[in-house]
Amino acid sequence: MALLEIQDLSIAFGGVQALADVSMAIEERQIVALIGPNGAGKSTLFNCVTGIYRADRGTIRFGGEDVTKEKPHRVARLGVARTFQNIELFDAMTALDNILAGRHLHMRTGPLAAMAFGRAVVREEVAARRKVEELLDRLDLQFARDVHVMHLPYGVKKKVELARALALEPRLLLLDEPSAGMTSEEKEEMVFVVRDLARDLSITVLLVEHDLAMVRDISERVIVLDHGKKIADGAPEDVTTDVAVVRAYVGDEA
Amino acid sequence: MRRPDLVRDYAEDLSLFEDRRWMALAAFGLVGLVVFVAALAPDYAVYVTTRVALYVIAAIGLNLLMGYAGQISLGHAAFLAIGAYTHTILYTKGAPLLVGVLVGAIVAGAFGFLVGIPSLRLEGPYLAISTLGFQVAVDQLLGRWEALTGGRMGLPVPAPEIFVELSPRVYALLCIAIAALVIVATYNLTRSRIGRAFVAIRDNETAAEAMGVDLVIYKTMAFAISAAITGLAGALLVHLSDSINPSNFTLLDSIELLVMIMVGGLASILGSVLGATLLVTLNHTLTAFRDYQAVAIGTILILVILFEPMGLRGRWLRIKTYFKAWPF
Amino acid sequence: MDLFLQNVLNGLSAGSVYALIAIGLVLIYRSSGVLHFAHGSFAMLATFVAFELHQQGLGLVPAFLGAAAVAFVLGAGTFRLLLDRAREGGSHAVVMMTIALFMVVEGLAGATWGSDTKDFNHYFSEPGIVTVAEGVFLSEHNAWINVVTCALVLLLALFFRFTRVGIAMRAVFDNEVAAELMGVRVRRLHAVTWGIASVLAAVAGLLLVPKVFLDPSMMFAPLLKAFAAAVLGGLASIPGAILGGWLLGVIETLAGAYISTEFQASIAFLIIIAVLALRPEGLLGRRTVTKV
Repeated sequence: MALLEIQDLSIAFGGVQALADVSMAIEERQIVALIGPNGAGKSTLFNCVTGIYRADRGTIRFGGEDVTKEKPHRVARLGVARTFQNIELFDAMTALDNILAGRHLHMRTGPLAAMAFGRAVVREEVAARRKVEELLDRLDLQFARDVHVMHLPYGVKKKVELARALALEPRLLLLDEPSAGMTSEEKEEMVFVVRDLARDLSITVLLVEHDLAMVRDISERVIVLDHGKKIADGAPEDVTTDVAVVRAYVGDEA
Repeated sequence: MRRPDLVRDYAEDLSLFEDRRWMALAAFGLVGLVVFVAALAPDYAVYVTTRVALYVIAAIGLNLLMGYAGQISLGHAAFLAIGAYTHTILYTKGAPLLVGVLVGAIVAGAFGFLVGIPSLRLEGPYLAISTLGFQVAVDQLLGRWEALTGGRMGLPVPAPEIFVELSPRVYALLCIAIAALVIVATYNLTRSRIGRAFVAIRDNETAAEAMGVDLVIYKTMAFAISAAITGLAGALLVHLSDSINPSNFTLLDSIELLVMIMVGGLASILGSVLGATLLVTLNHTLTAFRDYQAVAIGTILILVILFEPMGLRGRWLRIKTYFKAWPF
Repeated sequence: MDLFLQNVLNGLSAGSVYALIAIGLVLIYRSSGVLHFAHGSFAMLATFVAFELHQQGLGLVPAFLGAAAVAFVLGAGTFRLLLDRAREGGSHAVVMMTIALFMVVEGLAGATWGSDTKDFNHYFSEPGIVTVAEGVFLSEHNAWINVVTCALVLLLALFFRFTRVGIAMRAVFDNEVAAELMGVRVRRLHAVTWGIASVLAAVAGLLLVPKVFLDPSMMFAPLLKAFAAAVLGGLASIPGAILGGWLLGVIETLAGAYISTEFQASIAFLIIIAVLALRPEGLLGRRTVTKV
């Protein structure tokens, strides 16, 4: 059974059909790229899966459970973590605290215990710290540890956001344009980081990406959306040479 | 001993004071305050110090909600009132003082929970209006429900008593002790998982939800805890005079609490302490200028917003950095 | 039936004043995103200015014009000097800034004029009565209130439809960034909007003052009711504010007549709570989807 199954998903905003009967199934431990021109509905799909938007029609099943109408925090609890197209970090927190906030679901401390801050709370905090330090090491973020994220450069923010999503220890990781605005070196690094993470932590990855070279390097499978419809689905080499796909990207003259 | 640059383990990073010297300073300050109140201070200074301690508690309560969780409240004096009236009614009927105070805090917290429910659907400006509405509604209710609250005349408050009657000095020490407890407890709260969830909601609701933070639970929790802490202060405040009435808890008192945390610094426990201390002291020293009090407070607030957006705490941090880097 | 109609008519008159204040609140909120808690204080100050000018021997018309000018400068200046900068500090700073202004203005008024009430009777206080229909009357004062309000609303509608400034303002309401890119001087327009809103509030104060006495807190209760009216209408909709004001006035008067006058004072808050709980976007507001 697929980890994420989407059936006939449709949603419209005003008169614009953002998604029209989109179906797909993502197998466990796949790295799948979602591509398509601007306004194709990629981020909308992410927002439907994570419960930020409520679909008009269709179903979304994650790990066998129907999550079509779940709220975002419930979806996170089931094991879906994500990054955002325009970076949604907690600006006034340090990188460390941002990632610690990602450990929220793995901690139990209630308000009264927190006020007393007894041994059990300290133990839990220390355990969370250990995890976060691991992630900081892994993503080469130690230098940013105690910096308020609003002072960090764009590329580093993207990495902090990735680390925060990983802190959830998700089964499915949704990455919305992880390499946008990065230099080609940073992009290469990102490819390695994501591939290693997916392998080591056995995470399934669905990512939105515009850079087709990167898509070919990183993913095992590519799904193409255009005007809210799925127009192709298959191996990277096949899909990126597909006539319909090229037309959607470059225009009809191609 | 200063915190080493290389922290040996994470537990060390979590110790309450980042530097033993600060701990010594805090302990010294507290002891000094106790000696001052217990033996040295003239009666009026004891009274003002008690008020300072209680407004520190109330301001911390509001700051938790507004500074940390980012939810505005223009009605926190209503929680002061709920704590005060609940305690007074129970205490008059024979409940022990600390029980009455605790129940007062809990009832205020329950109302905080209710007021927090609209915050789930409302953004800043609407929340400002609805909490303002709550403030005025509580004021009207206290004025009209004469059987319970004594109406505009208010209620008499029996002298404070725990086994024996407490002198103003002993009562001041009790309030200082409770304020110290509240300071430590809320500081702990803000550096815990709960505090991070509050700040996450303030900085970015969407991302907070994506991290698994349940907005329904944490927003209402922020309101409830905040209201309970402020209600605690309200319950303890009643023993500073021999009666209470609705005019002790008006919109202006709500605004004064807001000014305390804005002047002291949002999202800072230390800021709440500084702001409350400054405002209460000003109120009781500038009595000659009573006519211009509101003007003075408003002017201070305007200046703070324009020139010192981080409040007194921001100034303090700069002074601290300056001395740390001294002589450079 | 006549009594009922009579109450509705009186309610509309009370609602007209709320509507005038609420329109200003909505204008300011739509243009600069500020919830203006000192809006009523500005109206009160302008009313005092008219009173003082009149005391100095000026005729009522020049005194009113003087008050309007003061209100305009006060509103526009407040935005330019204080709110524009406070906006950089975030939403809390903005709310606190208007609250600080509320304290300063009311405090200064209290210190200058004392808190004892004064009478300020003028044109609109004529004791005459207008017969609207068989058995339904309107005091001359209430008739004036309704006529002035309707005239101002009409003027405002024409202003937004036909003048360059009005059209530019609508553009700023819809999309500030786009308007700025099109060459609209956004800050100046915000300041003008604040000025116009303050003039409307000043008119409300002048219309109301013969009914309530002149004192520094005279506009506090009307401001709260205007907030209720604005929320009822949707906070971001000008027609909504007018409708909200009239509805609130009518409901309040009917509740006072048929339930109890005690209850009348609490109606505004019940309406705020009910609207926010059931339909936060108000009667004429629109729900928005945030994009991430």
